[in-house]
Amino acid sequence: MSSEKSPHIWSSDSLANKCQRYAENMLKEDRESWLFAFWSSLVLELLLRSALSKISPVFLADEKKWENLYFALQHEQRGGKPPKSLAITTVLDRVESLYDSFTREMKNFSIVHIERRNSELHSGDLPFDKLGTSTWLPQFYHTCKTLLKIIDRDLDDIFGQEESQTAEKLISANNDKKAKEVMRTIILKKQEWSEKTEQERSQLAEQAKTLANRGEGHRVICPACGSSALLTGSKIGSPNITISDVEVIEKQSMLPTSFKCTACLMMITGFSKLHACGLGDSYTQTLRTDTFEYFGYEEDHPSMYFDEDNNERY
Amino acid sequence: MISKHLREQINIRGFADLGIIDETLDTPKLANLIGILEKLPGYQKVQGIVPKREEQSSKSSYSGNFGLGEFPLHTDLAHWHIPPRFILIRCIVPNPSIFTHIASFSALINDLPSNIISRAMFTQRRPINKRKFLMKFKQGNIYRWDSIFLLPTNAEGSYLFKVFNDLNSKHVMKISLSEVGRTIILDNWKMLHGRSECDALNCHRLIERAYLSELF
Repeated sequence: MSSEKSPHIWSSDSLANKCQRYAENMLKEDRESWLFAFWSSLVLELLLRSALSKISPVFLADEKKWENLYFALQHEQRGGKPPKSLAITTVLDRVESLYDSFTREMKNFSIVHIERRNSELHSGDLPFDKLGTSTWLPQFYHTCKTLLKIIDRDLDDIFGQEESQTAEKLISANNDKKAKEVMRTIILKKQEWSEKTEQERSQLAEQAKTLANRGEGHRVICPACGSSALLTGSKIGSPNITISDVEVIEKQSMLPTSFKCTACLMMITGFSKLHACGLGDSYTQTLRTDTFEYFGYEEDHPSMYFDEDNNERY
Repeated sequence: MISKHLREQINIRGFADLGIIDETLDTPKLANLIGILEKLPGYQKVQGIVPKREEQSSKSSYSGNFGLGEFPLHTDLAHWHIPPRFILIRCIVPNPSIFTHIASFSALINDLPSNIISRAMFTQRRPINKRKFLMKFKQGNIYRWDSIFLLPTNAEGSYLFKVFNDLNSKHVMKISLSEVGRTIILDNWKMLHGRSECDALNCHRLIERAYLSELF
């Protein structure tokens, strides 16, 4: 192979490398933040283009002008205007036609996700705000996994080992057809709940509100009885830590793994089932700790200059 | 054409010592016999290299940064998208007090976590053709390293800078090109190379370098 000073800006490698940079930015954000989803849409677009360019960068040239094709063939830019690459909708059509592993379902998901990005960039709409991860993240990772295989890379390469494990969990949950059976449990619990008296329901709902303590999990609405209930989960990725003089705030993204409603006594265990019944959104667990305690200073540490214990000094 | 044995050595060890090659055969001819000689943009086909003081050299060269001091281990043109594959180094004027240092990537990164190797990313210190781009430490079968021409762009890249700044010298082999015509070939994608410090009063040495894209 001959040496090459710089890659073509539409080459599969340069697009994939940039994709890793965007994925790193995505993972720096809290999962509930609109920026997490926004960065993901850019990751997806670059991966689609990288997959198409794997055959040749020529496939990415907007063929309305010959200058774009000329540029894609590793020649210097011609004409005053910068070379123009293909619209993403055409990229999607070509990727679907060229790669059997890229399914119609993935194409449809990509259209919706990239449309959100367009809306974010070209309108006053806020399509990524309040977009629960369960509505897009599993499909996103499934699509990325497929595209990465096309360009001889994997989820580890782009998202890192830790996140790729989470991605695999999300993908398998999304494909778990059996998990949908949880809907039967919900219908049964709904039935039981409706058989209770109005007074019982109101009393149980009130108790559940008190028992669904945010300190012990993430508060959600029970899909069977509509009372306050709790989700608990496992950690995803590293926490974002903010340190101030007063407190240390640790924000940790969590993947829900179990659900408990103390009103109708419904319990659901396993991410796949939670995902199937719409409780699969990741959530952020916030832990606030006194800075003094966080760093494990002992109270009698001389550097802290605390006054002596004294109930009434004067 | 080089022997099957030497080609195997290059494949396995990343380098081979071709011994002393007839002085009457000039380096371009020798390179053409061994493989495909590459003419890189901005470079002569065969380059004569002598130790230089810092002030005699451009800041974009190793001499301009390290002068007669030790050259750290590096990949030649690590900041290019695809660095040249093979380096042919031939001694023209020997100096037994100056050594060429070589080390294999595989030995140096053996204990590193795989995600560091697969995810570490860099960009160039200065733009190439007025552009900057991202490069992976390991891109396919290319490994690259340079402590001054590359800049890390992610945490894994920064981690590698720490690792390479604190290299264990037990992995470094010192080669003395002490005879006229002594020639070695390095696989630039697998091996790092550098140079020992030169004594200011005894720094006469001339080696010729050529880049090859393939070996016959």
